Amino acid sequence: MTLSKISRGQRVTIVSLKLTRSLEERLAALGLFPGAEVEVVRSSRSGEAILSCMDSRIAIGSDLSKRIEVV
Amino acid sequence: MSATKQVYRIALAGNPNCGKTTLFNYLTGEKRAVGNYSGVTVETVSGRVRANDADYELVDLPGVYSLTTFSKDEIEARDYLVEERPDLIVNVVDASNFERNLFLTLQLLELGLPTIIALNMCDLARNRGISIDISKLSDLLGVPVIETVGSTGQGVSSVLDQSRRVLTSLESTSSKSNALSHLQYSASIEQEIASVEAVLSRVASEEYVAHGGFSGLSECSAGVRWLLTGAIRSERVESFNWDGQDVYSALKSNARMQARRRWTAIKLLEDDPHVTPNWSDESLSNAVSSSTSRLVTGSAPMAALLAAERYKKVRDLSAATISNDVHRRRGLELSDSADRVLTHPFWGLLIFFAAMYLVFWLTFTVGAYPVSWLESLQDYAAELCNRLWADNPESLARSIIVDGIIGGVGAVLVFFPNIFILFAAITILEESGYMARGAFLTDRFMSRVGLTGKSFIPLLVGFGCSVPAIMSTRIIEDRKTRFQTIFIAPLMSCGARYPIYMLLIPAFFPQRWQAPVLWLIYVLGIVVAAVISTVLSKTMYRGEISPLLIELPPYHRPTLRTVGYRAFERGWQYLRKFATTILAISLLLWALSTFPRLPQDVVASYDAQQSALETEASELGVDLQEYMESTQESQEKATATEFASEEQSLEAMESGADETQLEEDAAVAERLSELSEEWTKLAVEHEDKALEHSIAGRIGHSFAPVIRLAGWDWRIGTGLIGALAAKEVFVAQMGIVYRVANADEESESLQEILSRDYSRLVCVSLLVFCLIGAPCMATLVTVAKELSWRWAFIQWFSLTALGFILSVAIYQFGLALHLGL
Repeated sequence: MTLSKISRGQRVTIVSLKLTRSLEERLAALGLFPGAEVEVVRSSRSGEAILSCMDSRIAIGSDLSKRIEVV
Repeated sequence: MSATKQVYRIALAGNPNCGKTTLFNYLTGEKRAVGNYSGVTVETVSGRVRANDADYELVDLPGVYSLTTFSKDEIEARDYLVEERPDLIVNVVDASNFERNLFLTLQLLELGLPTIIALNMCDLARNRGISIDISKLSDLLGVPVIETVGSTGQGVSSVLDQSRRVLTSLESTSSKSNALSHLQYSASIEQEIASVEAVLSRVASEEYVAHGGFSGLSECSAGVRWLLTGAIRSERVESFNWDGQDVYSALKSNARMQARRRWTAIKLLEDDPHVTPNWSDESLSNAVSSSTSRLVTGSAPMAALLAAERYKKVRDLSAATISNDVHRRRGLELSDSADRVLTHPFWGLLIFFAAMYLVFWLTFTVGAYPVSWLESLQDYAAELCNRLWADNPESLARSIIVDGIIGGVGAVLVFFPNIFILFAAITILEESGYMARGAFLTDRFMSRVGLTGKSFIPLLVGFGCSVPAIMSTRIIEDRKTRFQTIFIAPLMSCGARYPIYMLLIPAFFPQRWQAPVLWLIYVLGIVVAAVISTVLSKTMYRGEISPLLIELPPYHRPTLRTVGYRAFERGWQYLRKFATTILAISLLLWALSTFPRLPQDVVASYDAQQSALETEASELGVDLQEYMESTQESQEKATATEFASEEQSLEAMESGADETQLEEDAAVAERLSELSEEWTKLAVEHEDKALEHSIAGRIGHSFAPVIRLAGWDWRIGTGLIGALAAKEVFVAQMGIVYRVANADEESESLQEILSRDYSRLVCVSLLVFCLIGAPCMATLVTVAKELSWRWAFIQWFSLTALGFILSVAIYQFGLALHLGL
């Protein structure tokens, strides 16, 4: 399932990212890498979401959340 | 003795908003070289400081989250650290956001440069209930850690003391020391790093020997050169034994070389786009790929694996050093509950737009007051200068000062209050953490046209002025989004275009149409921008995504000090960039519309004709100049006193004065008014000829056949040339062309002339062109600085072409449909 489909309040683990290398590095710098656990604080139908990851809140657009596989 | 001559280069590195710049300013005092806006600009800033008998050159690097090559900031910071190799890094760590900051710290330590950590914002961290065990942190990282509070300056002075201590100890222990610490990865990764390192040593020393040793070093590949030379400071090159075998062993024993070798190995494993191309050796790439295949099991790239390792380390470090209590939790909870409303898809957006409205109201409505004070100051200065040359108004010096400098630069200076307020508001939005929420909220519709929410603020600023708008696109890390935002930013109708609309719209449209037309112009700009952005996404960046990725920091109250300081800093930088460009260009345009001057005989013939008229007037006992001035004055008063003067003349008639005398007076008066009319006609013709003769006039004329397609004549052409400097100059330039003194947008005489000479259709085609075509020179220069001259010209010409094509289309369709009136 992709992150864009996860509803508010759920905790998920990132499985893989289908992005460019530099973007994956950027996500990693913010704590989003395969194996990292995140909580969805806000979700929307169009896909943008706010994630909670290690005490910080990260907003991601739908282009990203649709390309992040989680379980 | 020479020790005091040494200048140590110290780089300040840290995350965005970690208080790095404040610390930098404390350290360098007033010796700042250039202003820097953290978060919004990435210009690397340096300053000199002398302390403890040593000179330091401090470099304030752009704030970054990591040392990858994701954004312009990151590449800039990394290039400086990797290529320039400062003597020491001061890593500024925001104690209130400890874990996030440590990620960068670990990457900095990996560079193998002497490092000290300034644990900043400790006061804020304590307020949030975070306490950090400094000595334990220092032990675990193996580098000195100093507690600082940037906003009060506490602990800042010990940063230089500690730097000095580290630098001296490094010098005394020389290259044998193994004092540089680094992060240990898990055993399996360390093993692969070591195996790549071994191949690196061999490859580097072999290539070194193959090129004939030290003398052939410059011919070695970039990777080898970097690995071997930079580790040793230039003054030590001679004392180093550059024997082939020694180079091989130095790579193992010399601490600095070792650090470089390790860093290179890690970057090769990560397949870093800036490091891998520097190494072409086949055995090396084989070693790297076999190491990678041993480590990577799933689909995750090696870089993510290493990132995960770093994060694990970060978590271990923070668990060991942080004691975290209820306060911090409460702060986060408060922030989260505020976000339940503020990031709500409907209410959040509503509040955001209200906030943006407030920002614009403050900037343009409240800001209008100080602007009008500055404008009257500008008028006063112009008048003062005019008075200095009262006897010779044609003087070149007067013209250059009044029209060129005061007119041109003044036009920019008067906007300072707007800019200051706008930047203060943006700083408050940024500092409080609200800006990031705004980007999240607006992403939903910005992503429809291939942009992200981060483009929203820069584009909004564009309605004020394109220059700060383009500058503030630096908050956008993504190359594609940033490029598209810059490209369409000039289409947001800026404040300088407003005077043009205010001149043209009331001249051609009845009252009730004026507001809708103005609104349509703004909407047209947005629509064209949306279309261009979509087209760019679908063509140039086909298949690429515009990712929004933004950290939402906990809300906190910005201090007056930071807001005032940053707003002033930004405003000042804006002024400096803008004023220098504008000064140069307004002088150039002044020259274009002044030179070449009319030939002497033409000027003389006009002078002769005019003085003949003056002689005739003086024979009638009147000084023509004085007469014209007095009639102009009485005309100005006429409207106000029309009624009164009629009564007076009636009285005069009734008084029964000598009729022949009256008739004679009337004849003289008639002749005088004829003379003055003729004189004015000559003067206008003279100036008109002079302008036509000038380069600007000639350009206007030579373009005439082309711009006629859009319904314009050479006068409008000349006005548009003026608009290149700054859009509002169009109004003044049309005033010059039509000889209306001191033309502004409220100048009724100019509006009358325009509505007499042109049709409404021409007005519309002109409005569209002013909106879309020919971005001003300041915009061109800013784009060139942010992207490149090539892109600046491409943007300029494509927008100009688009504007012109649309104008022609509107005019020609209008003509065909007989919409001329």
